[in-house]
Amino acid sequence: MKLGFGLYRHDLTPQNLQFARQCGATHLVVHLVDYFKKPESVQHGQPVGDLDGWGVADNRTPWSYEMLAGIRKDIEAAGLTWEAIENFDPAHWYDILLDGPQKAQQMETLKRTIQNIGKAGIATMGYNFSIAGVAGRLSRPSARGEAEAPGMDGAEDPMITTPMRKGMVWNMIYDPDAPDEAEPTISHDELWERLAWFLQQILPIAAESGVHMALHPDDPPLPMVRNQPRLVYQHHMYQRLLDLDPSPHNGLEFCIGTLAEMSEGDIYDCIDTYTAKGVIKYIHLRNVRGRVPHYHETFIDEGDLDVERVFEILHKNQYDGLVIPDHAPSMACAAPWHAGMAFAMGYLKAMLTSTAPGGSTWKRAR
Amino acid sequence: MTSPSGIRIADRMSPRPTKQELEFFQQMGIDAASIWTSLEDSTYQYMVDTRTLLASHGIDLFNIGILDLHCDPTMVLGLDGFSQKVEQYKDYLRNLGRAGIGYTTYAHMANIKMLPYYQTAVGVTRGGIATREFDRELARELPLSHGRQYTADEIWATFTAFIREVMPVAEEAGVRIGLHPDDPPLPTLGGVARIFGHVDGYERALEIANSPNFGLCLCVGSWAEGGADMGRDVYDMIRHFGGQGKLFKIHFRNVDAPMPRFRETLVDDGYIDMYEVLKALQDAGFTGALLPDHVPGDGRNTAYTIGYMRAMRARVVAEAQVHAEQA
Repeated sequence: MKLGFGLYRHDLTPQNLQFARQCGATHLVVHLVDYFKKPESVQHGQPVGDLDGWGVADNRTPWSYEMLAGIRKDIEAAGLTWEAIENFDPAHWYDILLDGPQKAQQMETLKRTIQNIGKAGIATMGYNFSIAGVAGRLSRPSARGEAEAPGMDGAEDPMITTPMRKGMVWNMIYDPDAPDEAEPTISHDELWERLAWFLQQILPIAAESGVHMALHPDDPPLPMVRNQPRLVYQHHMYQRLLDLDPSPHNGLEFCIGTLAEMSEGDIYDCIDTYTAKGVIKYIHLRNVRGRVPHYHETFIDEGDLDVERVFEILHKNQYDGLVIPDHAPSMACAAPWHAGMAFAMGYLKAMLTSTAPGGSTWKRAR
Repeated sequence: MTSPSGIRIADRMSPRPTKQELEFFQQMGIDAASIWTSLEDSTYQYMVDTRTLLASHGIDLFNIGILDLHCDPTMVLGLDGFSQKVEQYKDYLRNLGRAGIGYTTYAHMANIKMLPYYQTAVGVTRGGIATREFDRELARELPLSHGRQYTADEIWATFTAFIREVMPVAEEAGVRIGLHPDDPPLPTLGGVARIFGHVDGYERALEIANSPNFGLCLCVGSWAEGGADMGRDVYDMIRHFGGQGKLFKIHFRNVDAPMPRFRETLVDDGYIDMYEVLKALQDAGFTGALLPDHVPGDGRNTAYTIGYMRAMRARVVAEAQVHAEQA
């Protein structure tokens, strides 16, 4: 099992790459989309946004091999391995999500992108097949020491119930000139059909490019957000994804925090089930208190989740992939985001190593 | 939140903490604080006010140290003013006790505050962090730090005079004193003998003090710097003195290798197995403060270290529970 760190593209500075190593990371997951363009939508290091989302996704330029290879060079110069990219750019695939007129053309672009990712030697492409995206969360001082963390206090908030308008997808605006009207709603089955088509198109290319596709569950995991259906908002719904295609390149970006927020099911059974199948491409690990529609993210050691037990299950099933803290509450100091992530990394490093078989006498005693 | 293990995770706090610093401690889940300050803060009022402030944030004030009375050349070398310093120390102990702060750390090195005798170069540790490096061979070339050679007998004499004066006051005031080992632990440095770089030094100090209020502030890092020259390794030290209830405080830090040359590292990046350290502490029934001491880098790296310590503590506590159930 490997410990990694997630960084946004605008944070890929030599200093931050070194910081990831200080935090014990050997591998990196990179977000190439800038969700932070609108300063007012960023709360305590996380994009939260308003009804217009996180900002405008207007970079239509596909990701070239040269661009990816350049980033990889910087990452490797810092002594790290680039394991995964997280999330497509909404500007590159909005009509795939919305079944719009440019769907076929955008699909061809994504195929070339996957080829470039494979050529650049990046093992995994994480994606979130979601129309409304990570929308509807509110930031509250709900973590230890009144640290700010995202969550929700009921599903009736206008941030969740207001229909998403046209020109938006994935909590960003791809067309600022779209008419001021609501994007029509669709059924859950229709959303799954769109995903099935996408997988049918992308998986053969991913397989020949040596890239693993990894689906993130819906965060927050409600059946509907902003009048749009969600794909994976209960544990068992991940199985439907796997049933669509048995390809080893069809896998999971397993966000344990989001899975723990889901209204049904036992999180440890869920982790055991999917790690035993060997379908997890990488893991997001954070803690949370409560379940939808009443939950808040917490520090790694204070929520409902027993992180020690999580690692025991991962070791038992010989999970050998990457674990990253996807986010953490910000801390009251000169570097709030960095300190929050560092605290989580230190905790995860100690848990990961001390729960490893042979990693402690306790394990042998058991 | 009180930990079921009794091991209290602590960190250094500034003498006049801001709201932000207090929040940062709360967010890290730190149980206790250690403050280093100067002589004007050795008053009862400062101590009780500070203790109350921290308590209102759920943080126990474990220790207030006075830099003027700690590793002070006048006290270590027996210079003019020795008696006055000892009297100041007694007043300080009385104030600590009255303010309900039951512990302090003492160390007996004359030149640790003189940088060349503490650090011979700035090294680099994981992720490019600048860190303290010490090379014993370079340190041999250093000039006398205090004008002449001071023998071990002389240093023992000042320690003995000091500790015999202050221990009765400490007992009366209800304050425990933990002796910090020499850092680095060398027989002599800058011409001044060092006497607490071997387990025998600790044994002798305990005999001299002959008090239930006298014990160890065991610095894992300093002890690791000495390697095989210390008489007992750090795990053995914990079992040995922990079993006697003589461990009061632990500095939980790591180095890359024992001398002749060492660099301070992040907690998980040195040659000491910190899991085994914590396990030994839990097995020994240690109930004192566990400090990261000086972490290479800044507050971000401290947050990493505290997160690491909290996870390791949770593990050794769970392990002890499993063993108890099996027994």
